[in-house]
Amino acid sequence: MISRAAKEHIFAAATRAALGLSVCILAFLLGAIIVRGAQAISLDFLFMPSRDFGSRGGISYQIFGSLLIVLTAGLIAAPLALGASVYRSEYIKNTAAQRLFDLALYGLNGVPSIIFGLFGLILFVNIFGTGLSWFVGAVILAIMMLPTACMATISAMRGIDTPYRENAYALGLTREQTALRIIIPQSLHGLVTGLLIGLARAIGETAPIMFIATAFSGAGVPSSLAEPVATLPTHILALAQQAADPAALQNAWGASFTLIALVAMFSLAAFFARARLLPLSQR
Amino acid sequence: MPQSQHLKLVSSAPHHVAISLENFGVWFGDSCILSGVNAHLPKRGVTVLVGPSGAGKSTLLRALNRISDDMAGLSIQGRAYFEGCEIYAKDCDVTKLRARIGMVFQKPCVFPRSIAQNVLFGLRGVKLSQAQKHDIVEQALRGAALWNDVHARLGERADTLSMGQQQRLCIARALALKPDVLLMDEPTASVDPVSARTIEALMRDLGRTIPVLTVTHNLAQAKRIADHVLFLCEGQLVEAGDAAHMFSNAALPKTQTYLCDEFCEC
Amino acid sequence: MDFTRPAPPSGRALRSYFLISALICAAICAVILITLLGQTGPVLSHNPASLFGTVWNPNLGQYGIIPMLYGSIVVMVIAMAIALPLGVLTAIYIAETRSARLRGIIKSALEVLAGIPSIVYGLIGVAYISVWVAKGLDLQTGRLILTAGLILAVMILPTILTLTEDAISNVPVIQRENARALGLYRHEVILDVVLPHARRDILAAGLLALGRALGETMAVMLVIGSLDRLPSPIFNVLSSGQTITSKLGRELGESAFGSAHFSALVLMGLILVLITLTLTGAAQWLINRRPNGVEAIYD
Repeated sequence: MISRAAKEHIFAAATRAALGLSVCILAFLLGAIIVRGAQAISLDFLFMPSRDFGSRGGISYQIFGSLLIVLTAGLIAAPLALGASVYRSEYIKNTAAQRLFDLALYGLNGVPSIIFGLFGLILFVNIFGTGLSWFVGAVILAIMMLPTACMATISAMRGIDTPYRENAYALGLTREQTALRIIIPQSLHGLVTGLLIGLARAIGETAPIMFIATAFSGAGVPSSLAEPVATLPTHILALAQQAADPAALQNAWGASFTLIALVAMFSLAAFFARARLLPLSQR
Repeated sequence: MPQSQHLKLVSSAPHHVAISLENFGVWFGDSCILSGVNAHLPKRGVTVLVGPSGAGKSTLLRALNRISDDMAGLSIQGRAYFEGCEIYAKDCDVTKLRARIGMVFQKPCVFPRSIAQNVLFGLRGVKLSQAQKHDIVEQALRGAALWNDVHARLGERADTLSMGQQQRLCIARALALKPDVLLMDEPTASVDPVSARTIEALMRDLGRTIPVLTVTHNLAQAKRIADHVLFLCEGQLVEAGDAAHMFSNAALPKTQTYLCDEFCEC
Repeated sequence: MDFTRPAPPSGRALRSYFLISALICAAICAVILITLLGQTGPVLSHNPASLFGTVWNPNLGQYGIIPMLYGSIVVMVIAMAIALPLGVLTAIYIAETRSARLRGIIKSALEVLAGIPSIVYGLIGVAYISVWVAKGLDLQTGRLILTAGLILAVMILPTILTLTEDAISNVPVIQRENARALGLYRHEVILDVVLPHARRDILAAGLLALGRALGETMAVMLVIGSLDRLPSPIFNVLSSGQTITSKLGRELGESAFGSAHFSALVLMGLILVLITLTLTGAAQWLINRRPNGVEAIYD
C-alpha cells in the first residue's frame, strides 16, 4: 500500500503536470494565431478585395459581409429578446410555465450550429424560396443569439428588487406601464451585454450560414436582401481547404486574426456595457 | 518593530507547557496583526483568549495549527513550540501537527455524509475493524455529549442535525483523533443559548484532561469557563494569568477596565 | 367609483408585443424539430432498412448512417478522455494555488480562447495538428479520427477548465479548513471534500462539453478525412472517418432538396439534435437536482 505522504506527492505531481500541459496548449494556440496572423495583416490586406479565390488580395468584402450579417442579426434579435424577457419575468407567474419557457431557451442554446444551417436551408432557402440570401443568414444568426440575449436580460430583470414593482403598482401604474418605465430601463444593461456576447459568438459562426447566406468568391456589396455576401468564417474555410498553397494559408491566418479581433471587440464592448449601463441602484 | 513585552508566564515549568510562544508575530502583507507575543499554554485547563474585535485573537488561534498557511501574504515572526517542536520549522509535518491539534470553528461545518462517517473523517492511514470504528464513534460522541441524541441514527446525514448538535459533532470529530490540544474559535457564537451552555460544560470537562484554548467575545462566558486568561489588544498580548487573579486584581489598569467594564483603553 | 378601467390601447399593443416575442422564442426549438422531421419522409419511405447499414452510397440508394454515428461517438470519447482529466486536474491546481497572479493570467487566457471561432481551430488542425500526427506516426495523411478527437479535446478544454475551476472555487473555504484541521493531506481534502461537493457542477460541465463536442462541425470537418466507412479494425482511430456533423457540412450543399439523399442527411441531423438536447437537459437537471441520501453508516 502506498503511504498517504507518497500519494500526496503523486497527486501534486499530477496536477502540476496537467497545468504544464494545459499552459503549453493555451500558449501554443494563442502564439500560433498571433504570430501567423500578425505576419499576414497589413492595411492593404484589410482594405483590398480578394483575388484568385482569396489566395491573393485582401478581405475587405469579407469584413463588410460579416459585420452586415451579424449587426442585422443583432437588430432582429434585440426587440424579440426584450419582449420575450419582459413577458417571462413580469407576466408568467406559474412555475411550470416558467420552467417550460426556460427549458425551451436552454434547448435552443444546446442545438448544434450546423442544425441552424440545415433549418435555414430547408425552411427559407427551399420552402420559402429565398435562395442564397444574406438576410436569411442574419435571421438564422438572430435565432442563435436569442437564448444568450434572453438569459442575460431575464437575469437582469430578476435583479430588480420587488419594492420597485410594488411602488409602481401602488402609484396606479399598469403592468405595461411598469414594464416600460421601470423594468426595461433598469434591465437594459442585461440586454445590451447579452446581445454583444451573442454578436461575438455569431460573427465566428460558419456552419449556420455557409449553405444559406454566403458565396465563397465574387460576392460584393449586395443590392438586395436576397443576395449572398462573402464572410470571414466561410473565407477561412475556403482557404483552409487550399492549405497546400502557402499564400492561401497566409491569408487564412490573416483572416482568422481579423475575425478574432472582431470577436474580442464585441466581447470588450460587452464588458464595458455591463459596467457603464448598470443602473445606479444596482452598482 | 513593536517592543516585545515580558510578561508573567502562565506557568513557567516546561513540562507543564503544551504550547509556548516566543516573540510571536503574524503579518498579512504590510499589516501587522499580531506582534511580540510571549505566552505559555498550560497542559491542563481552559485558557480563554479575550480582547476587543480586531485584537488578533482568531489570528493567533489559527496560527497555532497553521490553518491559515494558504492565505496570500501571510508571514510569521518569532517562534511557536508545540510539545517542544517548533510549529513553523521547515521540516514540520503540517498534516501530523493538525491531526494532533484539534480545532473547532465558529460556524459548525459538517461534511455531507453520515454522522458516523463525519466522526471518523480524520482517521486516516489506519485499518480499523467495524467494531473498532463503532467504539471510536461512541467514545467521541459521548465525549462531545452527543451520543444520547444521535446513537439511534448514526447513518443519517449529518446536515440534518440542529446547529448546536452539528457543533458538538465537530467537537466529536476532533476528539476522535485524540488530540493533544483543542483550539476553539468562538465555538458558541452561532448556536442557541441552551447548546451554548452544553458546550461550555463540555469545555470545562475537556479541560480536565487536555489543554483547551478558546476565543470568546463574551466576558460572562469567559468568567464561567476560564482557568487562565490571555488578554490581547491591537495585536499585543497585554496581560496573562490565572482567571481568578485576572478577573479580580489584574496588574495593569487597562486589563482591569476591559475585564470589568468591557471597555478598552488601548 | 368605477375601478374597472379598460386598458389603454397602447397597453394592449405592448402586451401583445411581449406575448408574441415570448411565443416566438419558446416555439423556435419546436419549429426546428418539426421542420427537420418534415423532411425525413423520402428516405423513410424509400429504403429505411439501409439506414442501419454500414454502407453510404447515394448512387445505389444506400444510406447507412452507422459509420457517421460511430465516428461522432468515437471522436467525442477521444476528446473527453483527454480533456476531462486534463481539465479537472488543471482546474484543481488553479483553484488551489496561492498565486492570484497565475490564476488571473490563466483565467483571462481561457476567456480569450473560449471566444475563438471553431473555424480557426479547424485551421490550426489543418496547419499544425494533422501535420504533426502524420509526421509523428509516419502516416500518409494526418486527417484521421484521432486528429479530430485531438482538436476537439483542445476546443473543449477551455470550457471544462473554466466551469470546473468555478465549481471548485465555489466550494466554501470553511469546508476545506475543517478538513485540513483534521490533519488531512491536500489531496485528501480535494478528493474527499472538495470534489464531492463540486461533483454535480463538474458533471454538468462535462455534459455541456460533451454536447459541444458532438455538435462541433467546422474543426472536425477539416481534419477527419471524410471517409464514410467504419474503420477496420473497428477501433483503429488512425484511419479517416466521418461524423454526423462533418457529413452534413460536406454534403448538404451537394444533395438535391427533397431527395432521399437530402432526407437521409436531415435524419442524421435530427438524431444529432435529439442527442445534444438530451445532454443539455441532463446537465440542467443535474444542476437543479437536490442532494440524495446516504446509504452506508461507515465508509
